[in-house]
Amino acid sequence: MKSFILIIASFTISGWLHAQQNITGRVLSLDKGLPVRGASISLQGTNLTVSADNKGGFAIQAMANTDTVVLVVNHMGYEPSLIMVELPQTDTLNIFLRTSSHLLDEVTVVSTGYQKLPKERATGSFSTINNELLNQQVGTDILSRLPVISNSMVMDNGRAGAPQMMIRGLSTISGPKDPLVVVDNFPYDGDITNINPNIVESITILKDAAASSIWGARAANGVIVITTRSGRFNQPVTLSFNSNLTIGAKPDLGYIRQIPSGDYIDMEQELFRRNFYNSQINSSSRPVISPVVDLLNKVRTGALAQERAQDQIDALRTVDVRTQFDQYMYKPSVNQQYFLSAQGGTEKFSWTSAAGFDHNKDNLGSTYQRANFRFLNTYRPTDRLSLTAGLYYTQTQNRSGRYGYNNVSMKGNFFVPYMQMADANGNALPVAKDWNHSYIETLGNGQLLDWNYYPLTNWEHQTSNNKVSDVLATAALDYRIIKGFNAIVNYQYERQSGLNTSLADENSYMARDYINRFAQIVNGNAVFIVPKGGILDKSDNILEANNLRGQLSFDNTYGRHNITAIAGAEIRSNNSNGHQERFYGYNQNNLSTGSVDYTKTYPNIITRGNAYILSNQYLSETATQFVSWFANAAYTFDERYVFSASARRDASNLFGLKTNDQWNPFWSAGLAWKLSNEKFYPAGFLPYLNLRATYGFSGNIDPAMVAVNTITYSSENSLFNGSPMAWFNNYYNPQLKWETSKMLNLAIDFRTKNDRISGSVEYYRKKGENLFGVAPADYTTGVPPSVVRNVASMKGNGWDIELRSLNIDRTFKWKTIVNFSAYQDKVMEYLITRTRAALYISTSDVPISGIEGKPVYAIYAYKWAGLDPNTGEAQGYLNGEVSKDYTAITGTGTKVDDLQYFGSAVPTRFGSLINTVLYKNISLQAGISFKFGYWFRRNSINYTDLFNSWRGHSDYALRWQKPGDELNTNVPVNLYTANSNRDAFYTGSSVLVEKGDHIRLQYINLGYDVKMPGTVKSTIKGLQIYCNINNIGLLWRANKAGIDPDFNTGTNNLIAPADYSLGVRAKF
Amino acid sequence: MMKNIQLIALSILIFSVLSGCEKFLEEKSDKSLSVPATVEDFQALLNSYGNLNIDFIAAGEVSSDDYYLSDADFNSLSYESDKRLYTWQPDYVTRPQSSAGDEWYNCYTPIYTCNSVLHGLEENNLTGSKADNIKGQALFFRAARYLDGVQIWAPAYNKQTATTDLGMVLRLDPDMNVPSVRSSVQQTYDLIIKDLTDAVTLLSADPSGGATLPSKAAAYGLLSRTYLFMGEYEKALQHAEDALDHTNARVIDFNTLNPNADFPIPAVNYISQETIFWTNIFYASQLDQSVARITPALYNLYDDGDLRKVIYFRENMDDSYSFKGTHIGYFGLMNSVTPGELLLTIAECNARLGKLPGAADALNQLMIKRWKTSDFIPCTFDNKEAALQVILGERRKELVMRGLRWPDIKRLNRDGYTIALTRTVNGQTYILPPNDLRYAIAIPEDVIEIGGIQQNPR
Repeated sequence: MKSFILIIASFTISGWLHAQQNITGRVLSLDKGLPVRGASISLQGTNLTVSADNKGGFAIQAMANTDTVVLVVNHMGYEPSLIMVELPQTDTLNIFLRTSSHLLDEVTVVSTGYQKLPKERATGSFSTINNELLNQQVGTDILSRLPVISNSMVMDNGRAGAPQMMIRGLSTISGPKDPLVVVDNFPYDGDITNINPNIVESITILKDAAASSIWGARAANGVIVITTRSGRFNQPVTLSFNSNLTIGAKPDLGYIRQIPSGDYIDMEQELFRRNFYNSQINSSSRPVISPVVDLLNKVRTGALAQERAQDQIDALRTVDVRTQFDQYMYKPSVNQQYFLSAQGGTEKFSWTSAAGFDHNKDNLGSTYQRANFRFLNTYRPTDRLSLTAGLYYTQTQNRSGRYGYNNVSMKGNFFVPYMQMADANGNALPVAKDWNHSYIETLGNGQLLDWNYYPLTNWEHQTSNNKVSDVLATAALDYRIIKGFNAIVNYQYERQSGLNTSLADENSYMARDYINRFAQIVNGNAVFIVPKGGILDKSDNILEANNLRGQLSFDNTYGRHNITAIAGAEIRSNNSNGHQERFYGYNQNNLSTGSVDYTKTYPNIITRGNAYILSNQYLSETATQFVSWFANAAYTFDERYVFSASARRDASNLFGLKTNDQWNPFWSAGLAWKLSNEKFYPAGFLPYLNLRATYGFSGNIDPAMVAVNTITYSSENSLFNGSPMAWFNNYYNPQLKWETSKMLNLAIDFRTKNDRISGSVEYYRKKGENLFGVAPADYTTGVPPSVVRNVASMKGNGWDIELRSLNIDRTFKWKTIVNFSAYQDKVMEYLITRTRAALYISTSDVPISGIEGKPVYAIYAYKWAGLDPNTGEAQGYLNGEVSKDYTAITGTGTKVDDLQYFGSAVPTRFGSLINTVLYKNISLQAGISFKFGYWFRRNSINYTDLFNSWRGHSDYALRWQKPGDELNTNVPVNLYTANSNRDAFYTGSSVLVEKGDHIRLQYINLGYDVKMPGTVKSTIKGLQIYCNINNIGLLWRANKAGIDPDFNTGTNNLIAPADYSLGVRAKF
Repeated sequence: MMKNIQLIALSILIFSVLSGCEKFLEEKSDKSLSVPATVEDFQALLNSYGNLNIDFIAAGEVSSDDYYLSDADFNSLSYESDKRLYTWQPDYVTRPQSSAGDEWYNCYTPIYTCNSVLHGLEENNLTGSKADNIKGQALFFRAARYLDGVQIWAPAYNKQTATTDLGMVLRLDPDMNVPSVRSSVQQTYDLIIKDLTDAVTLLSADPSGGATLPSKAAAYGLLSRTYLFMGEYEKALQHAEDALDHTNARVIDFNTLNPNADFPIPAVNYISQETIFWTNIFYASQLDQSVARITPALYNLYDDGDLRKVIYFRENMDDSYSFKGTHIGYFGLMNSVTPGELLLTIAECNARLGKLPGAADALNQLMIKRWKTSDFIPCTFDNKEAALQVILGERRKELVMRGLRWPDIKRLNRDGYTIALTRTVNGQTYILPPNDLRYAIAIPEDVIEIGGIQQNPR
């Protein structure tokens, strides 16, 4: 059949061009002699390219007046081959391709999740990452490998919360910011860490509207399409094995800017002298008192001799809790990964099976285990029909470990820097937590449970265990109705069930504390209202997702016209169902539990206040359902011009919308012009040059955004009258509009002669309108200021440059990949005017700055006038004068124009540089990433926090102490009286703003291909040993404060330590 | 032909799938979510006591003279605004909204709920006795908040100037896009009286909803309080009597209590027997039991036979006194209407109206429950001024830490009393003279700026 078409095609072509000579042949793999289906064969010096059929056969026409031609044969996974053919051809040509092991092959096919199309026929902006590039990093999950190796992607670690992966910057302010992750055909609803990186063949990143608008409402942040490995037809059985061991260093606790213990104790002594702690010591709620204050108080009340207290305090001065954390809590991490896969295929059947097992133990000894099993089979009974069925099963288990620096607390979230967790022999020591321990020792006639907290061992008693199993089943049918016209049905079912167990056993602080609190002393005997034993919280959550897609696809060439088109509809539903319950008095040995009465209040034994026992139970059920239509077509004329268009409408059951309002249209259009295929184009330095332009409109749906009041019913009824209670979940806003995002993309793709340099340069502009955002609002409305509304329009623009070069191509090879992106956004209009400066300064996160022409997230600071040389107090400006009126400076006294503007809070120039060096069977790769053009705010001492929350900072030691110090320091004096406005001024001042620019060496990967002796070669086809270092560290940073800008947000952040891996890959 | 049939079949398949869409798209996205549309939904919103019944404004009590802070305790207040409020500063006296201590916000959030309920009842054409009762509850809750707010952010009601004095921003619609404008004090009181008068007729007499839901008695009680603040004593008297007629709440006999208990006034699930309608004041850090000490001027007013002296106060180690006479079973401050307050209103109004036997009778009904039975001597009045002095003294002694001292100081100063407040902090003395502009506390500066509303004259 195929050859028949070929013959027809040959006839047609010969009809056009006179007197041509036919060259026919087969493309075979060198090692096995099997046909290389789809290999591209082009005639050097012409635009003619054909591809090999199932049997590797091809036919190509050469002009009659030539007597030798050169064929260039290319295929993914093989080294390109140049064959000189003398004409007329005498016998059938057999071209053997050598399997490539190291070459960074141009992945010529991109996947949108709806279709696979040759990159050269696409108008949209796609960036592909092939298997080899992915394998330069080692790790359990796939997405974390992307930022350093992909184009236009950056992790924004500078603002509050978890790092945010961004493709081409921001498209929204408050809407979902995560890119959509698609695995093969459908968005992945489960936890993406379920995907074993070893099953991933390649990743395509859809960057512009033309590429992503097929995904409609969820595509505005870009789309990441993960293509998994599949079997091929006519392929011998191969087995591959990959295993590695990764040892991670201990984190450097010296990075924590902890206040020195001696300074802290001096501060406590002075505050004690000033009676600062009296209200806490005398408080009937008996809050926790620090060990030093407790000793000082005992001296004051006469319970302890001055000298003995002094000795103990002096001993505490030498304690640095970081040393204990380093010694007892943090250990090297150990990750193991094993993966085995097999694949093969006959004429009618292709299959792949895989099993993977990962076992990770992090620095704190918490474990993560993952087992994966995968089966994917395709059956092709006839040429026209193929049926595919797949199953991917994941089981993971997470178990909590020891306590890290941020997991221990004495008061609120903090502890004193001289906290002692262990004695000299490593035995656990009690630490005061939550309550005044001198007071609680007097309670209960010795009948209460031990009320001490032992951070060193408490983790053994308070554990969490999370098990997830996930089944992903897929089925696909592809039926060719007529040539080039296929009907495709895809179905995917996913069920992820999670079971989470949090147990505070009878020896845990949490259980003992809770039981004691509710204990009552009746006639001198303790009565336990909350039964003795553990407290067990069990929750489960089941997610079920169904996806069904029907699609017609068309791909045909009529002479110089090629049309590819798809159209279809899909229906998606995602249901999630969960519940949680709590058991008191739990005994893990016999599974017995106690009972409590949730309907009564009981007095707290310490505060005497009455409280209910927490039931900690809930039920939840959510369903998200989508119905969509989509169509996408591309028309190519004469391999020179491509026009594409796509459209999509989505409807969903998003709450509070009428069905009629639910359909939202999205569309895009694009053009590509293969300049190098024009007759006038001078072949020479740039044999390939392609220009592209696209424009499109996509959306970003935040399911929570509706214009009507919605209410949530409480899972528990009113304590007072037993009736149901509800509260607002969403607020009535008749002016709410949908958020929209438009993007224009202009691009050039090029390749120099012999592919020495290839790449693309893209420029894009985007415009987001009616963006949802949280902006300070007049809360006289009664609506919380945190409510999301349409607040802004923004414009963004940027450049993405991707270059691949082959610098040296001899026995010694050197290749480079450069990714460079520049990105800039600015607020176009802001619907809410604000002039008060304090609203632009937040030390916990970066607020949206609604100033036209300035970045959406920008760093502003109070102008700094140095320290007062006489008092050491921080000085700012008020009405242009140096001032210490902190209330006015942080109040309405400072307007936005009075602030110092630094710049964007998200990187504006970023990218990566990946170098590969090959020499014989040794390969070495290094990945460097960089981020430039942004600012961040560093932490420093906040005296209000220091006095009230015990949260210190090492800058305390640098504070002004005597006149003259102001020449060397900007850290204000400690006046021993807290003034929260003074602290707000200093922590928001310009002296604490730093440049974020830095260059990081992310990884180095060394591979060695073991040469197999001839006898073994038939069984072991390849054996590679590799070692890898990840998270190596900064090569350069702009700030002089010793801060790694990627590890700055929050308090007491630690830098991810380096990982060292050793592994082996084998192929049989 | 064959191809066409296949095509048609496929199209039919796709269309039939999509025609089921309507139903598919109407499924609730979250089972616990709903668009409120039924009387049950609106009742559930009003049942949410965490929104409606708590966080009444503490700023008045904080600014009053029944307690003081030691210098050390003042210095350990976390928020600068808390210190400024305590020392009667003219501006920046509100905590940041993110701290949950922004009382302007705490006042207007429940008003939004009330407006949404009223809007929703109308939009869904809900009628009938249940709907009426809910409407009455919403009107009541709204009036309670406006009455609470106008005591803080506006001067005392003064007939001569009420139409020009700045009152509350009166929001009557849930639409957040309507700009905020300050009304006059007169307009604010007019709305409160109209809402409460309507609520009286709409609310059911049956208090089975419990003390957290408004009842007829509660509406009468609040009306009485409103008229008392306005100086309309006949109406205040009338409604106080109406309220007592409609409630089961009774004055607790302090002779039956154990004064040594941590919280001697018994409360079952946070509600004492004296509660007509349960509302709580924001737990301000200045009022915290461990720091707020009772001023000797107040403590010394209590006679030894007065059980409130031991039921209300706890002696600290440093010979100062703290308040423990709460009605909720732990340390938290209630500003509910109680039979005690109503009796005092009846006594005061009778006295002001010259009905001295009625005044004495009402006062004795309360005092017999407050004094040791052995020491109790019923009082009689023969002089209006003397009667008022006694009654107002008892009012202060009875209603400690109920959020009422501040409006009482304001209205008494308006009527010619000269109560000047003084505090000494870290050696510096602060004075708030009678009828000072600072009796209308500063509205949060960010609201002034963002909402574009007028600040109180400074």
